[in-house]
Amino acid sequence: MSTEESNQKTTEQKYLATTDISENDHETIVTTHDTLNPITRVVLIALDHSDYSKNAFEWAVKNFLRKESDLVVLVNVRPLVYTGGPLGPSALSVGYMEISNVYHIDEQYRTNSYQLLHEYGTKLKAQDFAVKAISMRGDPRDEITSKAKEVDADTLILGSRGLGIFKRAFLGSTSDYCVHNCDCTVIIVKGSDPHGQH
Amino acid sequence: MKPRKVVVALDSSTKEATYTIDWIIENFLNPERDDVHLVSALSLSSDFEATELEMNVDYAAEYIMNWEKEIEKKTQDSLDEYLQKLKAANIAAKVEIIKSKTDTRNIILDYTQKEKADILIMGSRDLSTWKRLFVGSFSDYCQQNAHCPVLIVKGLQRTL
Repeated sequence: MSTEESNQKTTEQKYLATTDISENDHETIVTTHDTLNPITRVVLIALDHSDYSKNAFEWAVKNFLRKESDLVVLVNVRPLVYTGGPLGPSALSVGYMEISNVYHIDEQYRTNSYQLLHEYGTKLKAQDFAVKAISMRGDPRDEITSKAKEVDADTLILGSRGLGIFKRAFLGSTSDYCVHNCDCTVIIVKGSDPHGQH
Repeated sequence: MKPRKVVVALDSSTKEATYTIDWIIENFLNPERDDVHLVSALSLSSDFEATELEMNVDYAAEYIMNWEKEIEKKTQDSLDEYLQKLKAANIAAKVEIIKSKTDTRNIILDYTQKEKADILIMGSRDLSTWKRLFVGSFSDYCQQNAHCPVLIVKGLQRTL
């Protein structure tokens, strides 16, 4: 058990720019890379573990990003861990085991997030882009929108799951929300190209 | 470099349209790759019937025809203005005005699909939440139903 724990700690530390973080941090800077180029554009790319994000990222690199002028901010919003069922934590489930489970899952999400950002961040670093990769926690729609405002993003790039009308209404679409609520230009990259190009 | 076919959907001659063109010239377009289609959709004669004009039927038909021609000319002129901007930036571009009796939303998407565009670009009207509920947002519809990436140019508010 303790070897696992210490392994996990090393894994996390591998991805972090700084080892000085508290466990319940709302956001963590995972990796940064500076260049000597003057930054005139800030491009925020919101990522998750899906192929849609992979598509969006690759599209951005091939079609939009400019290393001479851009600061690329990569954001991954990991979900909060919820205890209990739809009615909330039941009186029976509150206890030491339950809480440590939550903590464990949260750690897992965190590590996955760092790993994802590290992977994408490294790709950009290799091409000498100015990068900042941030792991956040919460509702993707709110976090992405507020981060875009905070870094004064000129453009926001997202993948899209292509939800149908009903799913969109019930689940809520992140890309829809961001188009409506961000002040900056938004690029929505759909799934793989049906024409077989790229 | 792989060539790109870029479809830009515009409401002719609005501040948003001008801002959209300026923005994409500065931030997106690449003279070596891009072939731009400036598209404006005119949805005609769907709004009213000649009888509502309370005119003599023959005259009404002529009146409508002239009115449509006038709108088309105005659109063409303003799109030409954007065409000049693109030419000045060395970007290959052409104007396409599509007339249709059906819903404007589908016209642009059908065109984009037919041309196998690599990207669809448009501005976003700054509708309030209420207006958006009732009127519906053109850019929403396109973004949800397009088969290619969609770029929605916003930010006019910040520059004002």
